[in-house]
This record gives sequence, structure tokens and C-alpha cells, in this order.
Amino acid sequence: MAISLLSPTQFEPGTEMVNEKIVYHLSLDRSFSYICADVKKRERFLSVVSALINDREEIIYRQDILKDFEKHPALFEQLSSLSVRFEELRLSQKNAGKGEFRLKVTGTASSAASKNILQVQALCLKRALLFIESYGEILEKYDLRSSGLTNLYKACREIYESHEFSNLIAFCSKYENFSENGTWNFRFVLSDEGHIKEYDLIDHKYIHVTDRELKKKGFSLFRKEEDPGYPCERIYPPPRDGLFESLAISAISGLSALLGSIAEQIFLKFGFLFRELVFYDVALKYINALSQKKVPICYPGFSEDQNITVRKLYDLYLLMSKEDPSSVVPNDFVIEQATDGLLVFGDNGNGKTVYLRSIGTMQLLAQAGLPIPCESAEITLFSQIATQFSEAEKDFFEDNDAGRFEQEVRELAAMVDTLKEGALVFLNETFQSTAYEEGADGLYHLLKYFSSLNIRWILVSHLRHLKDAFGPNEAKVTHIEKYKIE
Amino acid sequence: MKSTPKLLNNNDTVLLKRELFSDLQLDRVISEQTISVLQKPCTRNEIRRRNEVFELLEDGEYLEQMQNMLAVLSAAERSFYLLRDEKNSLDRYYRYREVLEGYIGSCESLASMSALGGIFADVSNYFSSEQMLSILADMKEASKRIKSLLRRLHIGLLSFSDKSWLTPDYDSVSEYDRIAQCAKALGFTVSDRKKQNIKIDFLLSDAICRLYADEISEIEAEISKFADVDLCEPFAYIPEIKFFLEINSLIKKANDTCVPHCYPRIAQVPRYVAKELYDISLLAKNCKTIVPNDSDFTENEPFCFLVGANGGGKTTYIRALGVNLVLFLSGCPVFASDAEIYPFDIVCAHFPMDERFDNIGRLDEEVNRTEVMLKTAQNKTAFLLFNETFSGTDDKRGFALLKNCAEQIRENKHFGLYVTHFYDVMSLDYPVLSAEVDFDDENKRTFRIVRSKGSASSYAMDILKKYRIDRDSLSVRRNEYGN
Repeated sequence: MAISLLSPTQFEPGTEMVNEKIVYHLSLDRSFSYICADVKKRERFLSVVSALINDREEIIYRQDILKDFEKHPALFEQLSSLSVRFEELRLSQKNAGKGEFRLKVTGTASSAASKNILQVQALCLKRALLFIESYGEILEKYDLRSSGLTNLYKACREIYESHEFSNLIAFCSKYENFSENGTWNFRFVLSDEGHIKEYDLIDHKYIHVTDRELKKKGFSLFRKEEDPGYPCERIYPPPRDGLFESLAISAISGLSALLGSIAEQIFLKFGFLFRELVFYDVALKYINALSQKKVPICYPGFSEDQNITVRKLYDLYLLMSKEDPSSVVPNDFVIEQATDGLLVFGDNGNGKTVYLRSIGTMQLLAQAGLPIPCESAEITLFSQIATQFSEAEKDFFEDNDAGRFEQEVRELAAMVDTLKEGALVFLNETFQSTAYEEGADGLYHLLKYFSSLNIRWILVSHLRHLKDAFGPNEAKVTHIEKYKIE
Repeated sequence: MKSTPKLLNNNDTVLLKRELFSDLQLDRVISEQTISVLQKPCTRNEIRRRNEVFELLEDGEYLEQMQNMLAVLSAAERSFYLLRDEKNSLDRYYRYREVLEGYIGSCESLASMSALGGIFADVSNYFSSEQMLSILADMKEASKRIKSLLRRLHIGLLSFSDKSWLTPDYDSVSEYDRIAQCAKALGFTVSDRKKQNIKIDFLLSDAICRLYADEISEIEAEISKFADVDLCEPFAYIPEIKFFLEINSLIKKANDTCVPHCYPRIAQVPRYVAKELYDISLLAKNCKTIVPNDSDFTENEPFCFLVGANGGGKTTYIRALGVNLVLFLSGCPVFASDAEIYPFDIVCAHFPMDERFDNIGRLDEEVNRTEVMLKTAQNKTAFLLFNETFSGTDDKRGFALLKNCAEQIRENKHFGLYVTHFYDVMSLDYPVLSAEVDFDDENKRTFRIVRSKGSASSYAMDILKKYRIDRDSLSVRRNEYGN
């Protein structure tokens, strides 16, 4: 089974991917553009963040690995550097496979060309095996606490400490130097119809020949070991092409394919490191950036009773984008178990959206196993996260003849179709483009629907009389003024 | 040893012309091999014997048995031809063993067919005779011995350097297996190798035969024991069995199109009476529905004309008559709901031919062909089919020739049908059939062959109505257009 540093089982992205729009709404892409300049790495990191996990063990699994890397920066550097070279090897092995395919398709296969491919495959497999040993040797040097890295070490050691590992390396070395001019030995098996059904390379040690012609001439200055006279026959004339050439190609290609398939399995089993270490690379950069800003960092705990208590939570985007982080006002975020949703009111420019964004960012990063910029945090895990932010009207495109309000309704309808119990919804100035009462009424029923399904929600709005519609235990009402929650 | 009994006992004195089958388009639904069987009409007894087999084959169990037998015989025949064409010594030994096995299987299969009616009784007895059983027992022993000798030499090692060597294999393990073993121990999965099936060449064959000279001479000794046995003997039954299976598959195909079949009663006096007779040559066109017609040719009215509009199914009807008669004469079922047919001596047909005559015109060719046909039928109980004969000339001359032909047919008491567009035949003293629109058929463009009402204009009116271009229809159309 493949190992993963993102999950105690095999990491499979896409199980519950959050909409890429959420990353956009919460400005995560912009926030991390300050942290990691490499676009590809950033995208890979955000794709892992977007693959929402709500399994506490899995989140702790990542947190522990990240803590190990924080503690041993050299370990991360060495693993990362090795994984890059391992990936390069994977690509060159893939090309070797393509070479063989090309020979077959173009009909230009020859035993000499097949031999070259066998040499490349042997070399690739040997290097892949040695990489496993190197990974193990690096991990062995450190005092590891995380089960993820410990398991990786065990998986490597299990392979390279085996006697068969050395044997496999020896085979690879043999075929890495497989010579066109040496002796090629094969074994054939005929089927019941008298056709060749198997034709394989064999080691020369199995060949016992008594050359009667040499015996006739035979004289030697040195006493030789007695030749028992092995049964054997010459093949006349020496076959250089035709059947024997095509059989040699087939046998050599078969061996190449075997070596290639073993190498592919190694790449499949350990190739994840290259991709997954990118997540930790950006995560470490994120931690480093927060440290430089002298902002408190906290790995969140998980509440047993669905209470959420986050103290002094900072908005990541403001932290990253502002020269002076001290101007960023942290806020608490507290929701009790009994509360279905949070209504946030406030005048324009007082920080309603920033507050909503900081909560959304916190929730996503925390569920990705990352620390968050706050003093302390005890959170609840959600199975789905969705956002609906008031946006400008979409450009006209086919099948979209709807106005702004209709667009919002469509988005909310899609949400209603897909969201299930245990989700969290962020709504930012939803229905602001319609009549005040109509918007409020529409939203009320929608939020009540969410609540009835145990879907929690946070609404930032200017529709103030919504607060009168909800009963005291149905929603928590908060006002924000001059960036501070009251 | 007695000579091999035949399955099909044809009447060798009469051979229906090959062109007949093309005219009837039977060659589109039946193979050439089966046509060669249908070319030879058989006696009443033989018809009954074959009917019995076809009826049994409609039971899936017997059909499967016969299909298996064909498979065994065909495989044996294939092995025989492979042996004949084999060049390499070693391959010849393998092929020879296959031929022995094929022969044994074929004989045993033929011996076990006694349940398939009287037709198979002789064959079954022949192949289960004591003499045959003794040969088969020796062959089984020889085949087993050859197989065991060939097993001794089926694995070998080859070494290629400055000299190329072949050696026996004792305990070698391929590099593939050794590496695969390591990989599996390390937890990797190894897929099974793709099995090859490559013919060996002369060089390898020669080397193996030299290396295992003792085994090869033993094999040769086994082979020599059967030098006098005719190993091709059972293959003679292949076309005969194929005939039964092919007709059976035709029945199935017809059944899928809801076309019934029956085993006609064999009439004591010349007649061809059938209800719902189908032209199954239309199966070749993948027709979803085939319109059936009755036939009623008796000694009172043995011959008639058929007239009607183009596309009215005249040719389909004449083909239906011909196809089913030919099938009946070969002991096959006919495609009709009920039939009583006399085993006519001969069936002849005169259909238009492509105009590729070197020295004579179409009319002359048709006159010549008709003369030959009538001469062939002379003194026989014949069924003659004419399709638009003498249409290649003016009405007057063509009709005169037709009239002359009809008189000769009457004189010789032949049976038959003459399809023509000469409506003047209604003035002659012969029964006339016509193709008329079947209005019961939800006004689809289908025709039925019926006894003519004696008025030529009726066909034209039907067709005009059908296509809504008769007077009333055109009047309605005019009104519709105006509105």
C-alpha cells in the first residue's frame, strides 16, 4: 500500500473538495502569494487545503509531521532535495518506457536496441532502490515524533534491510552492464503444439557445453578439470537474425518490462513524497512568515461539544498584505453548541468581511492540519464548507441571462442541493441587490432551512431586521464597529 | 475392410443446374458446399431419412452433438493439412500426433452418432466395428508414446556467442523468474508473462532432432505403424454434416423472422400444394417481414401464368416456389405452414441473364435456352420456372414464342409457372395468377398472388390508389393544397 504524509491511510484528493471559489472568496490565493512566490507550489498547497478533511486523527497526523519538520529543518531540506531527484529519475524511467513503445510501434525493434532499453531500466530500478535506502538513512538520523515520518522510515527500512534488496541491486548491476558482445543465454519451452511458449534469458551458469571440435584439437599446457562430456549440439549456421533475433527481442523486452514495472511500483509508493513535501514546504514558509510578523501561532484543539472558541484571531490576508502587522486588529470568535448561526452586522468599512474571512481562513487551514494565527483555538470540524459572497454581475455568457439576484439564487440553490448535515456556510451580504424586506425574508427561510439540517452558518449583512426574525437561541447576533466585535 | 459408408445417398442421374441456384438467389443464403448437395435431388426414401435428421436436429441436444462432431472433424482435417504442409521435422512429429488424436476423436464421434436417425446407422456401425476399434486402440497407445517422447525434448537451453549451442535443460531458472522472486519478497507485484506461440524454425528443429536422436527414431517407429491407414477417411463426412447444420441454421434464421417451416407430405401423384410459402432468399437482404403466398399446382392445373405490376412480388413468388421445391427434393424442410409436394424428377428455371452473348442477341439466346430446357425436361416429371422469358422483343413476337412454349409444356404435362408482363395471356386457355395490392395489410405496399379476375385494368387502379394519384385522390389533394 502506498504511504502518505498527508493521511494515515492513502491520501486521495477530491473526497470532499471545497469549491475553488472559496479560496478566492477568502483571499487565500492572495494571502499565500505573499508567503510562497512559486505559483505551482502554491497551487499544489491550496489544492491540499481545499481537499477538506474532518477526521481529527488525520489532522493531528499532519500537525505532528509539521512539528517534526519545524523541529528539524535540515530533515525537511534533505528529504525535499532527495524527492526532487527521485522525481527526475521517475520522469527519465517513464521516457525509457516510451522508447520501447516507439520501437514496437515503428517496427524498428532490434535485440541491440532492446538491450539498450534493458540497461536503462536496470539503471533506473537500481537508482530507485538506492533512493529508498537514502530516504531511510536520512530519517534514521532524527528523533522523529510523528507517526507519518516514522512509518515512512519503517517502510524504507523494511525494503532495504531485506536480503532480496541486495539481490535485486545485483541483478540491476548485471543488466546495467549487459553487453551486446558477450554470451547471451536463453531457455525455451515448447507447448504441446510444438510452438515456443516461453523464451527467457538465463544465467550462463546453467549452460554446460562440451565442444567436441576443441576436444579433437585439444592440447593444453595446463591440466584442466575433467570434462564429463555434456550433451550439446551446434546450431548451423550461426543464427543472427530471423526467429532468434525476434525471440531475443521478446525475452529482453520482457525482462525490461519486469524491471520497469518494479521501478514504477517504487515510484508509485514513494513518488508521493515529491508532491506532498510541497505542502509542508509552503506550510513551513507560512509558519515562518507568521513568526516574522510576530503573530501568535496556535495548533487548534478540537472541542467535543461543538463549541467554537478562538481567541485573538487575525485575518491572514491583512497580516500578509500590511507592512505593519500591529495595525491588524484581532477578534474573538465564539459560538456555543446551541447556536445554529451567527449574524454579523455593522456599518460599511467597519471590518465585517475581514472578520468573516478570518473565520473562514482559520477553519480551512485548521482542517488542513495547519496552525492558525491566534492566541488559542478550540474548534469544531465541519464536513463541508461553502461560501456565498456578493459579487459583481457575471459577464454575459451562454445560458446566463440571469441578473445579479438570480445568480445568487442559483448559487444558493446549488448549495441547498449539495450541502448536508455538519456543513458550515459563510454568507457575505447575500441578497443586497434586492428589496430590503424581500431579501431579508428570503434569507430568513434559507437560514432556517440550514439550521434545520444542522448546517451552521455565519451571515454578514446590512439587513438588520433579520435579527428580530430569529429567536434568542436560534442565532447569535454580533455587531462590529471599527474592526472590533462588540 | 469395407468401404466407408456415405451419409447422403443422392440420385446421381440428375444434377440440377448451378445457375438455378443463382436465379433463385439461394446462393446468397447457402454456401457453395451445401448447394452442391442441393443440386442432387433424392428419392422418396432418402427424403424421409433426411427429414428425420432435420427433425431430430430441432432438438438442441442432437444439434449440439452434431455441432461437436463437426468441430472434431474440422479440427482433425485442419491438423491433417497442417501436417501435409509442415516442413520442419520436429513440427511434423507434433502435427502427426495431432492428426492421430484427430483421427481417433473423429472415429469415436462418428461411432457415437447412432441416435441421429437411420441415416447415421451405417456410419456408426462402420466406425464401431471390431477392426476399427483395434486400430484406434493401437493409435491411442502410439499417440501417448509420441507425446511422452516429445515431452522429453520440450525444454532446452540456447547459448549464443562465437558459436551457438543447444543443450538440454536440467534445473535452470529464468532471469525473469529469479528477479520476480526477489521483487515479490520485497512486496512488489509481478504480473504473469505473456505466453508466446511462435513456430520454431528449421535451425532449431534440426538441432533438437540431432540432440535427441534416440527419441526421434522411436517416434519414427511409432509413426510407421499406421502407414496403411487412410487418415483422411472421416473428412468425407464434413460437407455432409455441414449440409444438415447449415439448413438447420437457415431454419433458425427464418424462425427469428417468424417464417414457419414444415416437412411436406410426399405426394403420390404430381402436385405442388403449399400454404403460406415463403421466399427465404429474402433473408439475405435482412428483410424484417416476408409476405407469404400459397401455391396450388395440381394435375388439373399444372401450369399457370403470373402477371402484375412491377414490384408486385412476381419474382419473389417464383423464387419462393423454386427455393422450396429444391429444398424439398433434397430432404430439407420447406418454408411454408403446410405442404404436399411430389418428388419431381427435375427443376429447371429460365431467368433473364446479363446480356453478354458474343454472337447472338438476347431473344435468340432466350429461344435457345428455352429449347434446351424443354429438351432436358422431356420424359421427366419436371417443374419449370420462367421469369419474363421472351420479354426482350416486341409484344407480338414475344407473345407468339410464349404461346408456343406453353403449348409444349402442356403437351409434355410439365408443371410450372410463367411470369410475364404480356397481359394477353389472359386470352389463352391457361390459369392466370396476378399480383394484387393487399388492402388488409394496413395499406402497406404489399401484394398477394391471387387468381386473376381477368381484367388488366384492376392492377393499375390499385396502384394508383395506393400512391394517391388516382382521380379521387388527386381531387382530395387539390382541395388540401387549396386549404
